[in-house]
Amino acid sequence: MGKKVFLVDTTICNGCYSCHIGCKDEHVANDWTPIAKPMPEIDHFWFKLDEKVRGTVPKVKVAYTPRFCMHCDNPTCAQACPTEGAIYKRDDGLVIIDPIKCTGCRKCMEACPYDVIYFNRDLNIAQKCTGCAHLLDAGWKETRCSDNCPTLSIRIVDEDSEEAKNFIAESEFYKPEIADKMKPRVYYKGLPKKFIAGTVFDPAQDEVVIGGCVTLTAADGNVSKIKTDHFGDFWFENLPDGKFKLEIEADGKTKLFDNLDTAVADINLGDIPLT
Amino acid sequence: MIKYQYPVKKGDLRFSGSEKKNLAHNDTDIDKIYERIDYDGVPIHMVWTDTPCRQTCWGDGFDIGMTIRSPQIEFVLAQHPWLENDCIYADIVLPANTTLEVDDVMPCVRDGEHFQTMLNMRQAVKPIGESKSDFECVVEIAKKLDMEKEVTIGRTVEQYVEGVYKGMNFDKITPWEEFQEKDYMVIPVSKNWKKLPAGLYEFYKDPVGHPLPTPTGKLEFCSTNLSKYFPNDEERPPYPQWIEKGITHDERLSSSRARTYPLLIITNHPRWRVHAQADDIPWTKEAMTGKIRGFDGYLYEPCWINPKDAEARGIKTGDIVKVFNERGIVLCGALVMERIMPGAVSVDHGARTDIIIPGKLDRGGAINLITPKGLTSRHAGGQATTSFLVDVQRASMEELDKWRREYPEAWNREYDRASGLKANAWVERGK
Repeated sequence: MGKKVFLVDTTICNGCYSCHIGCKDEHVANDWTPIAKPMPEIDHFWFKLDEKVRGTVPKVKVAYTPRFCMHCDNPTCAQACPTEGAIYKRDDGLVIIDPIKCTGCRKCMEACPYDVIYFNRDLNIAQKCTGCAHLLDAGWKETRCSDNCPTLSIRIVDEDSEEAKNFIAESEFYKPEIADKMKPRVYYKGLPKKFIAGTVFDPAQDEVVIGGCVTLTAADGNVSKIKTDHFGDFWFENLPDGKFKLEIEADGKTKLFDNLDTAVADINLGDIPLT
Repeated sequence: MIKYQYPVKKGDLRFSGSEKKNLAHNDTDIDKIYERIDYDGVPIHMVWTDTPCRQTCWGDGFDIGMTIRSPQIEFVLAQHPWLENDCIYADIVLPANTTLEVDDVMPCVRDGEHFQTMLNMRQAVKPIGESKSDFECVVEIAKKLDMEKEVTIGRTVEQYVEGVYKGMNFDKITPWEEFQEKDYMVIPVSKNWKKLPAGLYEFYKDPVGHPLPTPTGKLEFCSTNLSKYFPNDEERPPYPQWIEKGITHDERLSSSRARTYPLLIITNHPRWRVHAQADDIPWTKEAMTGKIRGFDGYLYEPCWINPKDAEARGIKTGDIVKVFNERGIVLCGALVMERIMPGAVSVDHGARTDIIIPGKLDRGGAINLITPKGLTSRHAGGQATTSFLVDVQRASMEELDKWRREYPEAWNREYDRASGLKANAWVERGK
């Protein structure tokens, strides 16, 4: 059995929630012991679709981020578990909480930095995504979430496949700062960064400024330049958190925004009069 | 010419048989017809309604709810597979079958001309409990009125189904007996389909030689018939244009009403339901835009509101809010976010009603309870309910407590934490 990895491309996720429904359909009221006992009807999100609204009207984007167990190669949940063998790693890389051995102490929930383990009060056990190990063992090639995904935004593939290698080469980690420690097996593309956007107009003519030059300078001196489009709009996307300086120049007129900070949120500078 | 009043009175759009006939022949002065209409209408004594869902899906639902409760209406009969929607207003609910419990045929003729089929929908399960098909319900009542023959015309259900099949000329493609064997039929495409011109191609090549079935034979940006027969209809003019205000509608921010109700609401067809169907699915309710769980544990229908409007009203995401105008109050859960522009709010249509005070207050989030009553125009029976004026305010603890104390039975209806309101809330015995 080859080692599995999850490939999640959020750039083609349309937020349809079929993954969320598929996961519930597979696990609610179905007992897959020894892999998992039934998921409660509500309040558990073994597969969770985060919706983040970015920017302000009218420059608004919605980012969908699928979040589920990262099936880490260094699972702190298993290390925190006091019961021998209650959380174990399979040969295919999936991390499983044994629903029989689990004592419900919740230490794994505290240890998980991704916040993807849920407590089942009725059964007194911790539960989470199993990577649909019961299906893979039965010969399935897909998990229910990946099988349900109409855009192939979620994939489960062998780690040494071409698809995985190509994807991983361009991928990133959710919470990259702890990836070295945790060694997650879920690779992402298109995780939401920050944007700085605005609309430039000429108040004298009551028209938007088309082709105006907009220069963005990062704190480290990195410079990027774009021209305003036919709506007078400019968008700098995929920016890291940090301080920026933005200059607009058109027809000899200039405007400067010093000290823009993307650490808190995306920035919509709104309608900018160029005088 | 008749002076029309706002709102339009009941019975405005009734025509007698001969009037309809005249309309079809396009040779009657429409205003003469209107002069003959009895504006006070005819008193209704009884309502017989099939799967009624008027409060959640049509205009001014609170008014419909109060109208159907009028003492003037002596009796209300409903047929429905479930005790839901407006069935609670019926004196008698006849338990009707679902499509799974009856033999029927189902044509798929709505999905374009490219692939038309007819399926034999055989009974999948025996009728549950004492339920009967809609046909049987009607026939049983006809029997009591000694009118069975008039209703059935001596035909069985099977004969009716066969009649529909043959009436659509399907037996010329697949004989009825063969259809019974195969359980499906597919209408074959024309043999020379490759040679058939696409869409409006012939009209495009030769508009005079291949005219369209319009009075002018052309594509009409300005309708000849509307100009001829409805020259004075300012709300439904012969060519599409923006109508800020009219005799049937006064629901824009330019209205004087906007001083009292300053927000423009949009009530889209729901993302997580089909009209009022599927409002009881626990898993979709858990999506960010599914439902908002209030502090009281109740799942409220989300009311999208921009942070600017929310801040001015002291509203935060998760707050129980009143969405209201002079037609009533609908309680919702606030969802404060930038996906809606300032000055506008959004509540999807079709949440199940949970009426606390009839005609006044709903907790289920059925926004159509306070939509406008007026039709598109006095000559067109289209609904114009999608956007109208409201205000949104936080429901204070004092208000909520007052309603809870004064209407304890309604406020404490049987409720499931996952799926929401239960039909048992209206059942006294045999739960």
